[in-house]
Amino acid sequence: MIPIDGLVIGGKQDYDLFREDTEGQAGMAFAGVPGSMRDGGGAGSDGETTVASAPGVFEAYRPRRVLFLSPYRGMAADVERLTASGVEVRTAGPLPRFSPRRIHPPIVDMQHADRGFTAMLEMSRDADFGEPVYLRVISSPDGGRWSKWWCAFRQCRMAGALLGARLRRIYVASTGSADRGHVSITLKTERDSTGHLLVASRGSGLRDDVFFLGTGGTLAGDALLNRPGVYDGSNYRLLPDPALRRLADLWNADAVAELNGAEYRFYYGLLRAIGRASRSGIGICLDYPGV
Amino acid sequence: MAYRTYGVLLVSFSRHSHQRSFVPAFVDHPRVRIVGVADDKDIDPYLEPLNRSWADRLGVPYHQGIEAAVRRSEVDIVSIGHEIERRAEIAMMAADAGKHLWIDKFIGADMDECNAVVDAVDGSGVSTILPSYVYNDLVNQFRRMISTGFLGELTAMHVDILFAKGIPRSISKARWKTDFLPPGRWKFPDIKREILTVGAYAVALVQQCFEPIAEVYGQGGAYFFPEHAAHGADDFGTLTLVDRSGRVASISAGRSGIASHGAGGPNQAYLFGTKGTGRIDGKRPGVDTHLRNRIVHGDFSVGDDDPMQWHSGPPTLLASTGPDFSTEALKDLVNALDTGGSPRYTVHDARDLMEVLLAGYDSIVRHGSVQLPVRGKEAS
Repeated sequence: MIPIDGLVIGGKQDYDLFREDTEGQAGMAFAGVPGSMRDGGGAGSDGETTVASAPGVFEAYRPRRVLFLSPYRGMAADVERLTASGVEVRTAGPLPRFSPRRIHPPIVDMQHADRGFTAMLEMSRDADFGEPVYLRVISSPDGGRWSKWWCAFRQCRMAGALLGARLRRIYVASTGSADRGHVSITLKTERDSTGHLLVASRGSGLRDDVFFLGTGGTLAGDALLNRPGVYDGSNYRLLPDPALRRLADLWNADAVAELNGAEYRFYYGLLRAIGRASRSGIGICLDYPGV
Repeated sequence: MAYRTYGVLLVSFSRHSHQRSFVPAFVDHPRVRIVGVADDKDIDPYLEPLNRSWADRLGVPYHQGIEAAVRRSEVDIVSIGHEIERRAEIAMMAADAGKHLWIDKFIGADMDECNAVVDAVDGSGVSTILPSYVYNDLVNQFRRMISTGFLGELTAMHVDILFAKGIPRSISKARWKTDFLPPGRWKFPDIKREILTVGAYAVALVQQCFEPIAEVYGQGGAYFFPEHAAHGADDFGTLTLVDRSGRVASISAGRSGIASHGAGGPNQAYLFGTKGTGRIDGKRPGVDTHLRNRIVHGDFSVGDDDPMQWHSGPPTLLASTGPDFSTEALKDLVNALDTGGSPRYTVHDARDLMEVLLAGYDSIVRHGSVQLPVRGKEAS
């Protein structure tokens, strides 16, 4: 047994995003969700221990706390077991398959770990930006429908923060299924600002391409320009994100998303809407609770 | 074999049309010649001197009265740059006279007019083209990307097209008309409806690669300009389109204000496929122009005589080097006339385009999605 302080469970994209941060921290390990590390990625803080899947890792490492960045089948049981044994657990989205009898650990707002987001939020609150009018975010997570749902959840939370207002209504359209699914969310806030949140089916290098319009101008976080790249023999290859994300920030109290029961139901409704819209080819409107 | 030359009649240089931007393509094409300028007898006071000045500049006669001018023997093609409310009537008249049609952006102001134009054209055998939509570099790059096969099967798209023009200002809620203005009235003395004006380019791009649109969800009511808010009319809006096979396109379009973008406003698309995600910038290829004097002394003022900058543009930091869309469109039309083929974007496409845009407006008014077809005929 190798006791460690923190264990992070995620997909390949999560690993790439937080690699520089986790590798620099003693007592921190990263484990791939089942099926996510087929190409051999994933390593412990000492750079030697490669882990294959989450469940077996719990016994091997006995972490004090565990952060789930991507959902997987069987995750709810793992969360339950960890919580029962006194491990502090946080997740980056709601547990799939809601049950009122189940333990629901705190959900973190992932943008708290993203310095790009923090900078954009700060600039958007400058008087020069004026009133927010439109926000467009494109992301492309690894994984299937649950991963896309968590991504949409994260985007909704991010939109509420950047637009400075609660969501009022969303329209969900989607096409394709599982890891080939594309989700398009059109949103309106209580202050009438609008947005598109898009979860792409392919392109794991595309994490949060942001285009944000205010009456005073534009803020943009270009996923391509913000990453270094290499021209090799025949192609242009993007390198992993520079160290713009800090896992430690996700353990702070202010990183926890304050969701009431109606908001939980809204986000489970979003998961169902993604599936139904894809099957029917018809978009679905959802009202945000409390409006 | 000597190919024939085609005579073009320019009908109106109205302030809301792009007639003036078409002129260089007509002048430069070796087999096209401008043979006259025409307009109605009873027109806005500003317009007649403008029309006449263009006729003088081009060395061609100015005709008062459109129908007689259209029927002249030297006219083969009628370039319609009249106000949107007059375009259908002029198009039908010209088609009836056997003249080919070059139409600026819209063939009518509502579905009845659009359907009437399509019927008139179908019965006449003339060729038609709307040059503004599919000959630009956004579409060219899009087609190239699809043809590489890198994307796999296209499943979704997103398009941002915005004009960085005009000066947004803070908006008093007291002057904010809360009910969104239904479709039908497209312009006021101080504003134009921008989902129609700008969103049309994005919808046309979607048309190029999707099946007919089956569902539209529109959203408006977020404003940059107090002038638009006061009318409850769009300076900006979003559309989400679902086609018959379930593919999804999202669009943002409008007028976002001067200096809000280095190249005069984004003109970009994201293409989502089963194998990858592509990104296209319609303002590129280009040359980045960070020239100190132009930036430090750049004139970002907006004249009182053109507050929305319908006839002017801001200094930009990018010089696009792509092809001129009017020139490319004219080549396509001349080729179609020579061969008996059809240009890439005709009145049929324009009719479907208007149906999608109108559905978007209806969706905003109803606060819900709209299924197509809702008005008149099935998509072409």
